[in-house]
Amino acid sequence: MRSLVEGVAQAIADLRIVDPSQWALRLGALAALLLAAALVTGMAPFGSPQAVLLTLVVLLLGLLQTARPDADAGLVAFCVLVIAVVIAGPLGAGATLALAALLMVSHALWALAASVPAHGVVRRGALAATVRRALPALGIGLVAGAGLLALAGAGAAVPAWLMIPGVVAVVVLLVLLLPRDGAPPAPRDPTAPRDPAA
Amino acid sequence: MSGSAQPRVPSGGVRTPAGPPLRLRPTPAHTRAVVAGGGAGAIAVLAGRPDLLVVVLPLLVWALLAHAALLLRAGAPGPMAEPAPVLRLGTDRLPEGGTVRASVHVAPGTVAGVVLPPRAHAYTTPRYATAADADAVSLSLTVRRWGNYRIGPVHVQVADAAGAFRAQSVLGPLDLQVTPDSPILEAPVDVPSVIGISGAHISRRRGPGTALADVRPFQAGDRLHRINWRVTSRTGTMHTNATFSEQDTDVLLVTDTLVDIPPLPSAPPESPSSLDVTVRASAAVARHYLAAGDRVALHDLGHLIGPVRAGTGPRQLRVLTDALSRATREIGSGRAVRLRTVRTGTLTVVFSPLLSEPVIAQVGDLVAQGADVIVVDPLPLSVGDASALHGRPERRPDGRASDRFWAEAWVMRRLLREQIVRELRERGVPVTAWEGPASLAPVVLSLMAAGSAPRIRRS
Repeated sequence: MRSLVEGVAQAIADLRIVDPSQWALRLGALAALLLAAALVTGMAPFGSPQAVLLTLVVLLLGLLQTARPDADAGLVAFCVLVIAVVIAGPLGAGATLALAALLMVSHALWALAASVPAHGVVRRGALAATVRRALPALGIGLVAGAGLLALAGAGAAVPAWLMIPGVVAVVVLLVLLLPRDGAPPAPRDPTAPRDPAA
Repeated sequence: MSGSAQPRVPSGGVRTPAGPPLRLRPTPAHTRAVVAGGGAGAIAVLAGRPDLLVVVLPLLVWALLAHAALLLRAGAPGPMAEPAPVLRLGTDRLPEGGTVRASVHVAPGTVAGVVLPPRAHAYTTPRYATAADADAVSLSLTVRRWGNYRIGPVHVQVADAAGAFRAQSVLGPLDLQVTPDSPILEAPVDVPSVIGISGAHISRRRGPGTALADVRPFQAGDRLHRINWRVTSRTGTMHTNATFSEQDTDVLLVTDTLVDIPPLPSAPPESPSSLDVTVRASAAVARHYLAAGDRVALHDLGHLIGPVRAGTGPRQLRVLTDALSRATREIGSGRAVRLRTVRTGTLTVVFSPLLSEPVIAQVGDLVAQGADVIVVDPLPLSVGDASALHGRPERRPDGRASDRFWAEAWVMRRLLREQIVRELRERGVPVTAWEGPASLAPVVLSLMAAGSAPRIRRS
């Protein structure tokens, strides 16, 4: 019982030292993810058992990602939402673009929150640099996406013979963009002797 | 990281040397974007669902733009390399209570996250010394206590603006010297004995000076500009002004660094220990007499500060404050470094809590050699304060009663010490507690008055 109380007290103490800028980034990312889940459920997150399940799973994964922005829980949450869209069927042009924007916003905010520990201050310069990089990606993605949806809506069907090159293109893109190395290395010990061959 | 180049570091201050370039690695955010985007894209193609591709298209574009920025940046040391960050301190020497800016500079267009380890008696802004910013991250460090500080090592995480690639580095440490606070003493610069050649103190001898001693008849050899024409015209005989000569003196600071007595836990935060008071009071007294043109030296009975030879002027003040600020808090072997000889008439200020026999014996030696000795007591006032006792044992952090009675023991020790203080005063050695800039004035004046007072001699 005593260890439980101490654990809770330690958790409260850890929450108290989180900087307000970190609260804003992480809760903003979580809010965007939850709003994306609501979009997938047709703005009825508790309208059906499936919607409730989806909302709770995304909420849990979002909380894990909020606590540790470098974790893979956010990736699982993205995959859950994509699978939900596959099962539920097309959402409509506006909802699809909004979903894309919300996922991008949560992704960018978590990426910035991971730049410093939770008790660290994220200053305006860092936020401005992130916005300058994220906005063009969002704009290009939404414009291209709107064009793609317009083509699909006009009845332009993808020929069957494009399937194989299309899959190959996706695989090549994956190979090009996927990270080749593991997690960043541990900080180098400045007192350790340097390897002259390195 | 578009337009990446070397970090722009302002001139001045001290900085770490430029290190080798850092190797960039993809971040978990990059992995999320690529895996989610690639997976959804593959499903979109296989299932003929363009809406799935639209959902993840911004993420894929984000990852592509990050790669493109990495490859197209100018001035970079390599496609996956980033110039090493640089740690800079605004200054390497600071007065007690001063503030210095510590900044980490990275390549333009890059975001840096910085973690500075905490140091005792040093307060940072922001509070936990952790921040992220673009191009340069600045932290303010306010140091409350004298000494040598090592700022760092600083942990730095360098990332592109999107957060798709990052590298880590450790910088420093850099040394920062904090000199003790030396308040201006509210005391006269008078000394009991003057033993130098020329200075600011009026001696009892007649000689060249500015203080009028007498008006006497003119004698052969007297300076013509000293003739007192008013008395001459009234008496009809040539008279001249006689003056007291002005001399300087030797001031010797003797510090007892054999022990460092901390204040009781019940004392206010940042209360000084005996070593803190010793260092600050020494600096204040040195500054006071160096400003008057006297020669000031320092002898350390312990091994923390080291001896400083006599000197004058602002340079000597800097030498003394440097020596005082270099003192560490490691208590040595406890064997006193005795001072063998001292010039008769030297004003000797001994900073000691008078807790060890060798120090008390040293005070006796100094008096026997003819020095004018003042003892300044740096023992914290909270230590041995009987009014703080409440008849109940102290509580440990776990709530149990402590079996150590430090407060009571110190009360008894202070009572025992009172006998030593009384004996010293009976021998003409003033003992005063250091209570700030006004501490020394009454003591100096009483020492001058006690110079001719009878003293108890042991038969």
